[in-house]
Amino acid sequence: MPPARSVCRSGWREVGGSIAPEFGVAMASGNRPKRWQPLAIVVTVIVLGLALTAPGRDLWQRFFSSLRIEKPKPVSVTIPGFSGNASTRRLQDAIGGMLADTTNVTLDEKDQPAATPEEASQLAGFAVQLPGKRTDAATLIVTGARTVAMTVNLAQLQTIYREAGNPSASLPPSLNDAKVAIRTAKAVQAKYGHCPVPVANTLQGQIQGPPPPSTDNGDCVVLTETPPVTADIPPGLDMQQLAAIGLELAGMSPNQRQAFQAIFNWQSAMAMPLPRFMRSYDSVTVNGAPGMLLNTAGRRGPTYELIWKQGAIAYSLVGYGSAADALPIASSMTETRKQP
Amino acid sequence: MKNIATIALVTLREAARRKILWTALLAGALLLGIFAIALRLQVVEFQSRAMSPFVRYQVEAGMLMIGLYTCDLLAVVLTILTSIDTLAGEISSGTIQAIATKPISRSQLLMGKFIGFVGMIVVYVVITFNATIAVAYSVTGVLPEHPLHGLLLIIFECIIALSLTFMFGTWFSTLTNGVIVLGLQAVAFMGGWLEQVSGFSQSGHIVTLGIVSSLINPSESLWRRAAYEMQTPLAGSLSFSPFANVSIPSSTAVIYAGVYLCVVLGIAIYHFDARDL
Repeated sequence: MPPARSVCRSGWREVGGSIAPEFGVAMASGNRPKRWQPLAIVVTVIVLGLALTAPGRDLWQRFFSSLRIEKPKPVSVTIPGFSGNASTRRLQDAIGGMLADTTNVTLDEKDQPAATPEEASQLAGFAVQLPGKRTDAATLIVTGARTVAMTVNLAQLQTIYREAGNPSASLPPSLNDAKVAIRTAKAVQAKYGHCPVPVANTLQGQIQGPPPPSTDNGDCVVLTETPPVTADIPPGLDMQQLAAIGLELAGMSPNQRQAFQAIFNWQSAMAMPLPRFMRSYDSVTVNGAPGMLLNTAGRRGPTYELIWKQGAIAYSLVGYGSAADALPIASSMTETRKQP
Repeated sequence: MKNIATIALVTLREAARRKILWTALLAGALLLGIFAIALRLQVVEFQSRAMSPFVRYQVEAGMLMIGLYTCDLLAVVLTILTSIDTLAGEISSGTIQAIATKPISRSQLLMGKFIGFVGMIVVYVVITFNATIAVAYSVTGVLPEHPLHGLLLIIFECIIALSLTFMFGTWFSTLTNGVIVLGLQAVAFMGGWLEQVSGFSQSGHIVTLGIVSSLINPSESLWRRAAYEMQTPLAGSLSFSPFANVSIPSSTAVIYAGVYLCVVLGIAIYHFDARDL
């Protein structure tokens, strides 16, 4: 005689549901052992063991970490801007994102205040120029040097070239896993007038961006003087072309980008703060050097940015007042101290 | 195997008889129509601006991802709604007693139905997924990266949802089954988006909460992996699209989903085999 449970199950199979209900209930649920109970106890013990012991928690932690791809380290650690991080983006951040999955900031010096232009020149290592037309005192900051290292992802780069409409770009296989290092030298920032308070580096600050400037900010001018970046670039990597893609990503139209690149090479462009929004631009001359007056389109942030290059140094003059003030201020630039 | 194939074919025939696939395809076609109009309007808008073709490509690729996400959501909801009463409904109505007869065992019956639904879902997802890509390509010229990876992961996501409806269908009534599985889907959905939000707040705790949600129901994490595979590299590295991957499910997470599917299906078979009908 087979066991009761077998009888019950085979009975059900034989007649396919014609089994008497009382028989089925009595045999199937009354006498059948609850096989899930030992399993539930084992699972509970394992879960408690993992949750309450240090090795268990470590195991959980490792399991949790293994469930997600390691997050790439963001390139941008500090982005000196007109009045806060949200108003500008640096070209080198965009290029870093295009070149590699992961970037490492190997050097990130702190910004230093300078009491005088001479001290700023001393700290920055080049002769600082300030506009003679502004007679009020400037707040001087020497922004720290920064080095970003990355490893080229060739497949990613090829796709980006394709998306940029240049699928036939020649990229040698040796570029894959090649090392790139971009070094940004110390720069000098001079602030004049009543400038908006920088946006706090908080979630709310990032989402909202800078507040609309008030009429009090009309006299605010921020002058930035930046030496070109130096870089270790593997052969076959066209940085000028990458900069073109980055500039268009930053919001320039193809025409604006071409005019910009006619003045600034990629080394200068990568060191500059660029406006996030731009409505129009004019080609200008500042003390005999070619430049661009960018009229920004953002409701928040400055109203113009004048950029030009004199010698090796790239200049950026950002203002919250009338764009008509830009050229007279820039033309009044005088050197404060010879390079040490 | 023959018994399983027979039940699978019967299930497919039943789906065809009830016009499930056709009505779902009709809903998909309606969505595709709206998607195509939106893309066309976007292209016309871009043509009136002096915008870089490169940036335009990124925006249009982002719109394609939104189209594929809608296709994915529709497929998962279709999977759940069409399968919630396949076991639970037949058990409560007594129909199952006419089906579960010799020589077909209960496990064969369940697997046959499961495979039948998988077949239907595969047909549906392949049609809507490719149609979405075809519409996007014809209007904008944009194609996703690794579309096959994306397609397989979306099908996998639907199969996970299907296994849950089968498992809970062996315990609960149709309505309860639907509430539970849709609830679990909502948990996964919320967990996935919480992880995305963690990109703004840099909160490790939110990421952990998202991972826990994906352990409870890994379906949404499979979509996010699919989005990671299909998005343009630049959209991924520069966070262009709403699916830019802040917290990317790894291969281990995909393997976990596979183990999860086996366990859920195993429990479903075990319980269906053991329960009273």
